[in-house]
Amino acid sequence: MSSSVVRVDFIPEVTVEKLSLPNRLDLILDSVANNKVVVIEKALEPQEELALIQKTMERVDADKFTGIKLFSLKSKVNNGKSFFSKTKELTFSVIAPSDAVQVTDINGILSLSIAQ
Amino acid sequence: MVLFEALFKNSAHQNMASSIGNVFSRLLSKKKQANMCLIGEVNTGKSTLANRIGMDFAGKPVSRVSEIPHETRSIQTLEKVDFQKDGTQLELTIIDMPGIATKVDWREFTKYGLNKNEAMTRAKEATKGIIEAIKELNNIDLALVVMDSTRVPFDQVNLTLLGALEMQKKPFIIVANKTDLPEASPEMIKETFPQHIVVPISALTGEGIEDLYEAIAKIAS
Repeated sequence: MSSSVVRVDFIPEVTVEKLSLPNRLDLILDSVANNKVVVIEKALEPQEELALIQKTMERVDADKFTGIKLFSLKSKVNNGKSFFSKTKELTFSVIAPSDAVQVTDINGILSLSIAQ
Repeated sequence: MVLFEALFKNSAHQNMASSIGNVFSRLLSKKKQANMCLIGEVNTGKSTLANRIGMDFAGKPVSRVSEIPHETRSIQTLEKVDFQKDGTQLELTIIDMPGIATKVDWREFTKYGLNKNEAMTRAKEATKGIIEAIKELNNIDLALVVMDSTRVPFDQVNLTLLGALEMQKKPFIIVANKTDLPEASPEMIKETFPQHIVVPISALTGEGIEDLYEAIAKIAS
């Protein structure tokens, strides 16, 4: 794979739920350390994000791995106007290598700018 | 308490008497004790604010201050700070936390004149400090989440910290710091977090600091 190509892995909720928190964090960090962007359906909870930051710091290495970019997006969607309509919360987290990707949220639109 | 201990002859009894004495003193004291931490992203002015609070109520600073990021790389504390405001008395332990970041790159420090070895050491200490700070969050009673009013407040570190404090039901105040700078926009922080208490201040000049003390007194009472 050419160095200018960044792979994005989408991890569905069913896969996330099967994993314990330490395994989930290892999966994320193993991918990010290999220059992949990880998108997780069902965003990490704040406590899980802190655990991810903690684990990231344990892995920081002078030249090989300097850290992550982390972004969680949450939005509520209503599926209709009737009394029985349900509000569903759509959430996901994006975790990317800190140097390769810039993650920004402008007016609710999440942009990934990937360095070439 | 010394008299109380003197009634007992052997050291085991004296230790027990000392413990009982401590409990009595705490019960008799009207002051609440609280661990108050200052937390936030890197270089938001946490140590400048900690020093101001320390000087105002204990006549002592808490931490060293520098423009180089990650100056505070281990938790700095100042104990027995006699906080008094609007009839509220608190015995505070001020805990100045290392700044939280998702990335630490030693190369950043070389821009501030550090050589490679110094920069790498600083980076290693900074990562340890972040881990230490996250662990310490479990032991705090009140948090001042310090944000830099010249930056956009949507950084994930801010959102993560606020979310974690909310989930742990820990009371907190958002401090919109650096209002002395012309590009500061504490209004943006207020608009971003309308559901939370936001106090604009300049830890450097002291502008707004009394408002912060009022907010601390209110939240503690």
